[in-house]
Amino acid sequence: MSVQVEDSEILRKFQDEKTRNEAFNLLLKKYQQKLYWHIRRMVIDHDDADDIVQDTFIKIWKNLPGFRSDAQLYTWMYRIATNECITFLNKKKQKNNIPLDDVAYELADTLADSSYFNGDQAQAKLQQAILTLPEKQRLVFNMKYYDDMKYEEMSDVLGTSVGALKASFHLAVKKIEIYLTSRD
Amino acid sequence: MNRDRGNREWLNDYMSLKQVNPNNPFTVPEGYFDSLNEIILSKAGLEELKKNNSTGFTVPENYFDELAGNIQARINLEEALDKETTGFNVPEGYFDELAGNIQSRINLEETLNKESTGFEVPEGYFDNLQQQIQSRIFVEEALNAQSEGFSVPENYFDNLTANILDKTTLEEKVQRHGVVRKLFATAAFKYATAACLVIAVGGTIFLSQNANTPQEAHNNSFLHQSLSVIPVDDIQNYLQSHLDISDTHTLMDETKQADAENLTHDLQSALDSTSQ
Repeated sequence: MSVQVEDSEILRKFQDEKTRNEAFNLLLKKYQQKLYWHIRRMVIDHDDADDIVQDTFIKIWKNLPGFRSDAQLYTWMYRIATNECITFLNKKKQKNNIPLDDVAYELADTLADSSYFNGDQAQAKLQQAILTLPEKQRLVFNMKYYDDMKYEEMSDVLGTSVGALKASFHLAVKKIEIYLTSRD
Repeated sequence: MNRDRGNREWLNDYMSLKQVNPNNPFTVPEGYFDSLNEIILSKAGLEELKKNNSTGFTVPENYFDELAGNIQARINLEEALDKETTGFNVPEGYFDELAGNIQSRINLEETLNKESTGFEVPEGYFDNLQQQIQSRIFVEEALNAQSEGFSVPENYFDNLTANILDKTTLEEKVQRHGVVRKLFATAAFKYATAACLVIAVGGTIFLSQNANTPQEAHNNSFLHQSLSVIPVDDIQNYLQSHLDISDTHTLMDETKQADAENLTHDLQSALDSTSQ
């Protein structure tokens, strides 16, 4: 298992033009899978997630020189990825001229047809339950359930207070529980 | 992907959810993350090139800042030009009927051109007309220029009329005293005299020609006179050695007319006469 480089070290290397590419390479290796899965759980389809993760890292590359070191690099990158997902889903809604709920149904169909899903029936049902949630609740649940993010970190990512996020999370969990139990 | 288990005590309140396998159910194509690094690095490199504007092209300062405004101004101008009227108006439906009117006019013109006025001109007349006129003008000018070299006595034209009248009046006065006609001055007499001479000369020639018989004509011909001095034997020898079929026909035609009934006898006689 490779030793993870500290974010501060990555940022320091990035500031130096000679070591910038090396720093970015380190950044990629450290965070590419985390950001990818975060995006994938939101958009379901692998190809869509592939496009979004690339766009996310390009934005990181462009904006990293202006990154303020007082904020956490990880949450900053998460925010970029989250915004890219929301932009994508909004575009999908506008492109097909369908309400957001129908976008969820479309994602559920994608999930059902996806060849890159090898979960069991329960896991599939859980994903379907998550897709019934509003966009922000989906984000909160995924970051908490799958990434074990702290509410403070989620607050940095989503720009929402910790209390609102807690409330949002518990609402999400309740809905999912009802979904799972009512359709056994 | 296996997650590190954090503080998940909250799941105890949600049994259905707790029973679900918390592992990531999603998968990716084989080797995806290995290639993802390279893809992103390549894209980042391209972005760097774009940022450095390595194409070498530049634009004037503030070009893009002003571009939107310039485009909008141009759009407004184009719209205003489209709406602008030149001040001229046309009758209602003018352009709708214009094509038809033009076609009718064309048909009418063609019909009028086809109609014959009864007059014709030689072929190529109008093609050469201009040149002919110009040539005529040149000639006229030349003649006029030439005539400038001639002069007349002073007041010549003023007195001309009176002179002519005087002369004609005087002749009439003379003629009133008696009609004297000159026999040999009139044109009719002259023509009559000429005609008589022609008849006389022509008649003489004609009669003189007819007076000779064919034999006399032949005897008087140059050929006969030339051959008469040549001995007959010499002539016969020549004919025998140089006679050909065309000569035979000529001799036959010129000696006497063949008698159709006695053609063979006549032919033999002709041949015999020439061979002798």
